[in-house]
Amino acid sequence: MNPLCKTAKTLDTVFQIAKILLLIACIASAVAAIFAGALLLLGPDLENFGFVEQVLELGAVRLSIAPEFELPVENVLCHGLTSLGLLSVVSVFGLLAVKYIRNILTPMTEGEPFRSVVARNLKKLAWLSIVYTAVRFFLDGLESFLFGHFFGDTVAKLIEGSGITHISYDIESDMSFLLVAGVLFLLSYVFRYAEELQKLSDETL
Amino acid sequence: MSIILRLDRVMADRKISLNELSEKVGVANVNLSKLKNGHVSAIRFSTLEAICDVLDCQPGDILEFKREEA
Repeated sequence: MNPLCKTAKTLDTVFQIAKILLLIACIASAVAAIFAGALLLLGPDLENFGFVEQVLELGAVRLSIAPEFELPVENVLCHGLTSLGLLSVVSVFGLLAVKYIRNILTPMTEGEPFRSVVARNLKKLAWLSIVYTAVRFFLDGLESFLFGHFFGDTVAKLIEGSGITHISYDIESDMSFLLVAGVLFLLSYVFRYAEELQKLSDETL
Repeated sequence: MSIILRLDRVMADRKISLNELSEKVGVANVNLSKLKNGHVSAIRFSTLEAICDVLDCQPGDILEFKREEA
């Protein structure tokens, strides 16, 4: 077997596993979101649930909150729901990306990398990166807004007297996927050109 | 395309079959059939040379230019 085909087959297996993991993440986050939503709607005595951790995450910083600054359980659940929603959206994008990547790998496993399906799926992947960046920017903004909405008072109480005069919740989003999209568009063009060359080579005797 | 292949005519003149030519030239029967029917977009000099050698003809006997009418 051609070494390139072998590599493509190995990569395909890796992405097959990634697809399963993403599916599990997607289903698990959806189930957890339903559970959290049900808890909020049914409104049982949430104080009896021991799993609500007194932790605030500010980016990479985790703050363990003292019992006197008790976080409202409903707010923790609402924020959890937002995070789960974000995870679900990321998983869906991941699943779509894996689908396109596997479509690209299929002709490569058959030893024919210059088929129209490759260039087409590279382009789809580039568009997916652009849409993902836009959606992620919106969701990050929403998450930041909701964090301020749910925990703004608690954070204000926590820093009271610490010398901090103002708190603001800015949107921070990863724009590197736009660069990835640019590279994918270029690759798509290269593969389209290669496809034409391959056709010419196939029709030459 | 304005280049027309006249392989079938030369083959008929030399009374040689596609299978025989395929064996002598070393090109697959299917590919030679494509060449005969004009279903190729290019031909290598080495292939042309082998065909001309077997058929004892000039490239001009196989290839013909016909101006496309506008």
